[in-house]
Amino acid sequence: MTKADRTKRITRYAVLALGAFVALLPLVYLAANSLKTAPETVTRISPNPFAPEFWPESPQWSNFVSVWEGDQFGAYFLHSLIIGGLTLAGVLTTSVLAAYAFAKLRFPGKEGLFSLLLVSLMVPETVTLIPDFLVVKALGWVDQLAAVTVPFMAGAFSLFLLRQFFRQLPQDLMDMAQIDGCSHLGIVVRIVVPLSAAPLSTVAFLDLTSSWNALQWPLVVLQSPDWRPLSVGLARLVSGSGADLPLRMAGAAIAIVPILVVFLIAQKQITESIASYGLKT
Amino acid sequence: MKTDIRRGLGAVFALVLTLGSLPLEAQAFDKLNLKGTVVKYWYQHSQARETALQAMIARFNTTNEWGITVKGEFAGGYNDIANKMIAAIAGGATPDLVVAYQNNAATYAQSDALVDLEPYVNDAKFGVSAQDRQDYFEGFLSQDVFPQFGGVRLGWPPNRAVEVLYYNADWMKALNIDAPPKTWQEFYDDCKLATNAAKGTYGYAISPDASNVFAQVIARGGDFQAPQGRGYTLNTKAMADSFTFMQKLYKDGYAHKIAEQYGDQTDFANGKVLFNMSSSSGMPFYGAAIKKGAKGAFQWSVAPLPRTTPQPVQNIYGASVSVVKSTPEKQLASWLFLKWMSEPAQQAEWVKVSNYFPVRRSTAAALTDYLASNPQFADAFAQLKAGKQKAEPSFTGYELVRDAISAAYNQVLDGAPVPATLATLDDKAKKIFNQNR
Repeated sequence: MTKADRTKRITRYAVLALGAFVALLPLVYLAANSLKTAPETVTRISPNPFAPEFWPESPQWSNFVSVWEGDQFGAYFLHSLIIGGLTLAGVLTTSVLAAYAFAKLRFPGKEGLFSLLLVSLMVPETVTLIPDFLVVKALGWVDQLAAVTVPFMAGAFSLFLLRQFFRQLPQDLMDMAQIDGCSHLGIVVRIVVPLSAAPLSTVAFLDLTSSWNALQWPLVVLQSPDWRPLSVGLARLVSGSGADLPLRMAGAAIAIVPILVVFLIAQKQITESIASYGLKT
Repeated sequence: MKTDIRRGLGAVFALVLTLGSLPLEAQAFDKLNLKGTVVKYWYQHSQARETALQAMIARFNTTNEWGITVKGEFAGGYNDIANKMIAAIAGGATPDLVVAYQNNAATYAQSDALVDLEPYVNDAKFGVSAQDRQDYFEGFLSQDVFPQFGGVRLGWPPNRAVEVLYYNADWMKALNIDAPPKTWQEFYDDCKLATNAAKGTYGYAISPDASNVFAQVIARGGDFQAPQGRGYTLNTKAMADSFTFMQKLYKDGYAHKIAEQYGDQTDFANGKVLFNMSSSSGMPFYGAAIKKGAKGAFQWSVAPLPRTTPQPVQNIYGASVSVVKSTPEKQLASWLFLKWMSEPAQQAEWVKVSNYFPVRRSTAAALTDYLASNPQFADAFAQLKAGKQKAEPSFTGYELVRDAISAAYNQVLDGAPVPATLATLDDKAKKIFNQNR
């Protein structure tokens, strides 16, 4: 390696390290404040993580215990896991099947239907809030688990992403499978899905994050605590004219753990997919 | 025979006329059977406040003489509840009671979703007696009367807060300032004394918020709205004076602007600013922060804002609770719960947990110990009783105007000319008003 190459490499790593520092700083801030006392979040503050004031004088681990034990936080956590799991299973099933149909099958009106789907991506959630609520109410789902899962079991973005990937799969593979007597469903299960780990991981991660963070819709359709998700639990940690910041931060720290775990597990596939499509998570 | 028939018809006619002249509710209230009526209440409270509220609801449920059951539910923050209500109104899945700021109530009223509480308030059996009415702070009650809807009452206050001037008493003493400023010139002079650029101290931490602007404007005898709900008036002398004063204070370096939420609390607790203007409901948070402040605990209290008016005029904060149209039984049951919550015993309990002001003067009798152990609250409560209160506009879309006011305030602080900024702001507010009528 020449000296110039080494300099380039050092510069590249320095820039990347700086980027990582900037990206990680909010998480470090979250961790530091989750361990402070309430007055410390007002009086012991600094934007510099290397300053002692950035950190708590004496870590308050009890903040995590208070959040978890108080206010049904554990129950909300479980609800979010169930809601996220069901939504994910639904969206993966519908998106894979629909994306295969749009990518590999020929049927009348295919392009028109696909364009309509893309148009639905451009309608903001606020606009569809009331019509969606009316549908859910007409189906008798208000306050039911179905209200926070079924409407999200199909997503135009996931479908679009998978369709773009499926189109690149060699048609010969599908043709050979068909000659061997494989049905379309068999092709999806035996060939398409095993070859699509990267986009499927990305879709799963994005949809899980979206379901995990949803606040407005659960608040609108859930009127009792029976299926309240974690996001609503976090909203309950906000109070009056000052916020109990350490509890909010401790709650937020707990809330991001599952998403972080999923990301770490699927990290390789997600970055591969981002590299292929230039996607922003 | 004919005479008897005529007399009979005449009597029936007279009865019909008499009944017809009474409000529908007045005829029906007495006959309603409330036993088993369940009322759903959407509120925004969480943590300690929610625990206390739920305990009070449980007590109402077991002790009320009518057999009413109230079911209270956390429904998100104010904005979440507003979104939820709009969807619920469209879908016919509304609660019976809902916490609502006045501009939110106006939005719901445009869909004819709220009950006019005036017949309930005035009812001889279930309403508020004339004597009790005198006990309520009139400014709090009048906040829920909507001239733009013909004077209907769309809410009932459970509590209130006001904008106050927080001051660092120890620091003032060190600067030889013997009392909090009563005029804007005194405020300017005190801020100048407290400012030391080398030490990073200032007179005042500016939080460019529309409610604070309103508080300054009414302290100069102005208002944001024309009488009788005829729209916004933001290009006024009081508004120009407020903006010009703050622009000069900021430009001269005696005040600094804060960007982050509760940054003014932080600066005050750390002894970086002499004054703050903020809601009285923040006092417990100030107290807790000051105890652990960088410069150690210090003496502090609150006062009315500096003013040009003969007596203080304070900006009232706080959402009310509205009764949503449903069945006559649920509506009456909802009102009875609201009335019960505003009784002195419940008010005293609520003050202790929320630190909000009670809506009735007589609550003070049940707060003797609390007032003694919370001197700042006692000061603020005394000022409340001595002063006048005024509320911000209750027009639909006011939240958009608030954003515009904050933006204009920021522009002025950054050097924009006041007359031109106010002219643009006034035009914008009028457009918003007309779009939301």
